[in-house]
Amino acid sequence: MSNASVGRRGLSSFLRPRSAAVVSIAAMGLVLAACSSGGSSTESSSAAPASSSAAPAPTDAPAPAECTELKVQSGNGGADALLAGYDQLNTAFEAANPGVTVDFQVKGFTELVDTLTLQLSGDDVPDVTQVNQGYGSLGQLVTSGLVQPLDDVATTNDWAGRQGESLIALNGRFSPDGRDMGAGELYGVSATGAWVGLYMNMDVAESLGITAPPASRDEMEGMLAKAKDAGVPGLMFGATDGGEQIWLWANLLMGYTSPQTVTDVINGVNEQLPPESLQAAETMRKWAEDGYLTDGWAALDSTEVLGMFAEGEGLFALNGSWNVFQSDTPEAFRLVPFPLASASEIGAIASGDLPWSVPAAAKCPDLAKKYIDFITSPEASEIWIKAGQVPATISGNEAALVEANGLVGVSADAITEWVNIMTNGTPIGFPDWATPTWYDTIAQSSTALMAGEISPQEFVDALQADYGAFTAERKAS
Amino acid sequence: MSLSSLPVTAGGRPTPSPRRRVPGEARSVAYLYILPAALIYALFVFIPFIHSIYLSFFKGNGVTRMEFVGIDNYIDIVTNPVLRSAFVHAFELIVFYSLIPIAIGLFLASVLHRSRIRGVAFYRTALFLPYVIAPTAIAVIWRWILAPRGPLNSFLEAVGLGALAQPWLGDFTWALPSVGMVGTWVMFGLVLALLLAGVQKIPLELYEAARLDGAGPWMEFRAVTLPGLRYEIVVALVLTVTAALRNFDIIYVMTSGGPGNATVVPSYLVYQQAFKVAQIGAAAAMGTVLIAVIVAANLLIARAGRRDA
Repeated sequence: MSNASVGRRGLSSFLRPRSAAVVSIAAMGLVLAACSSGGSSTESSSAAPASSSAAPAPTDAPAPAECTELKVQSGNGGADALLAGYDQLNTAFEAANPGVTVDFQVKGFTELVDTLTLQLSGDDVPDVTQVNQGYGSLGQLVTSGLVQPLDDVATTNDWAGRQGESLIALNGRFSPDGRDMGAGELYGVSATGAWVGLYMNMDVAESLGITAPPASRDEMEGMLAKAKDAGVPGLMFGATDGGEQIWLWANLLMGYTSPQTVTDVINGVNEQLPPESLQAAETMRKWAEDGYLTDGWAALDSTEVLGMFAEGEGLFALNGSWNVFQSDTPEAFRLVPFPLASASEIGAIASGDLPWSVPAAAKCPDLAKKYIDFITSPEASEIWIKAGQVPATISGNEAALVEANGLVGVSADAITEWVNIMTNGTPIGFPDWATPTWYDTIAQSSTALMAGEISPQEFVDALQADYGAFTAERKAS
Repeated sequence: MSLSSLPVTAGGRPTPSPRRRVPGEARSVAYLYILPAALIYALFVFIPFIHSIYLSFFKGNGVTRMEFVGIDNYIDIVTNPVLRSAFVHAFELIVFYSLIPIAIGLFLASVLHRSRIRGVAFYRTALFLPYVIAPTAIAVIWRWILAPRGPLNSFLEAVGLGALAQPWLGDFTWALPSVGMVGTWVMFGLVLALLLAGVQKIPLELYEAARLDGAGPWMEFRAVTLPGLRYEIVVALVLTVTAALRNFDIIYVMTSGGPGNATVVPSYLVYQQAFKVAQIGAAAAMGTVLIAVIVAANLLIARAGRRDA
């Protein structure tokens, strides 16, 4: 599951109005039908004027005559800055392809994910749509034959060269039967990057005598202890969405093993979780018990906790690059990869945002692929940075562009540290891609673990039960 | 909302014998009258319900081929501790949604009918208001009140009871009772309105007679008020127990079943399994069991109401 899933899950589900309809199983069929068709809002892409200097050069051949309208469906509803970037790119795409209009429809993340399978199995499908990564989402679409491979255009235009094969593989590769993730055909590619890191308040750090972000987990634990002694919340933490526990566990596990080991866990290479899973669980428990977390963390959600952090409370926060915030003192805040065992190792949950796919039933598949190629091109990167977003494609000009656009603090870190992770470290996916139910399993069990309701071993057993069952079944199917 | 519009007699109070059919009138024409309603009911309730029972014997996401698994989904509900706990929580919520409001309501109704309170209509309306507000709005408000830095904890700290402050909805012990108390708050007004209307219909002579026979307040309550309110209590039970069992919106907005699984309820799992993890069969089984439990509970209540009579 990508950025939005974890970051916005709480909010979007909270605002979701149709909930009561689901109460009655009797109305199930009806509700499913209603959900698949209703509720999307349309945003026209024509508002922003074409950006003359940054617009990528017009592409060669005009689109086939019958494809004058490209239906694009995004799941980034609510992310206005991101959508503003798409707005500019759509205008540029229309300028580069005379006669083509982009019909850009925006849905909320939850709405997109909950209805995508049904929508794509119908007749009226978009030409391009965002999908969610993982066995439960994209994997299911591949298994059901609802999306088509993009390998031809990916090879022709060297997408692996643009983004790096590990990022390409973790976002969109599946075996054609959908049984194996992370290798095989390419079914989706991301336009923007989304990664999870450690937010740090350098003003608070300075008051504690800390001058630089932690280079290792041990160093970070020392800083947490220091903060606690000074009566400062060490790690601003909110558990009701579940995302933060999942990230914390995966980051700790990565430190006790290696990024590659965690990637293998996510892809379900083995049926057994690594033994270090227990160590990671014990550390989570210890941090909660030692009082390193925000008071009342179990009843706080991620968004409000980050808000409190942005107001100056606490030393660290664990959150996504898509949640960079504005502040009166922007230079006081940093966003860095969560520290692993030592400074020499860099790894982070760093996938793309929801990948773009072409539905099997798309009416204009060639134009659709052209569109995806366009929004992931190095030229598009420039527009993304202008919009303050993290481009998934590395152009090499990031540092200069960040400076030219006046980005500082966490807004600058979001982009430059992404480049750092991609070039010097190892990106891993979101842990909950591993099984359709793992998000809830980890979220619920870790809350119980950190609240002292279950032991670290029981926590690992709960994760293993879910993981082992799904992985075994998947391999056997 | 005026009280006369409440279904006060819906619990089976005997109605006058139905008007006799005019001789010669075709009886079958009645079916024509109910046809539109029956069609809509069949199309949108009955057929989907039967279909979901059918689906509950399969495993799959509802789009690709479903695999027949017999009663496996039902066995899961009994053996899987999380699924089972959902029903346990639903029954615990009955205490908060049903038993506590009825207990308070009975007490107040029996006290209020003896004394004349100025502006009783106002209080009745005020207490009834929570029942009229959309549950989602109620849940949002209460989530805010119960937040770690919300008004409740601030109040406790202000009056020197800071030690009692809790992250209410994040605490494994307090989350379910907290959600339950919201249910009490919602249901109490409804129950009180029902019982007050009922208690006013008990002839005062019965109380006089009881008093002449030397009954104290407790005896009076047991011998006169309680039997006199039998039908109202049955109606209150049916409404509140059903609300407790099918509770979705308040849980969904306030806790989403958390912390851990401390507040998961069957309706929430139906939603989660159908839409979050695409296990349509498991969701259908859960929904079917939930309906069966609700129907069984209502039959039990109705029977108990009859036997008392």
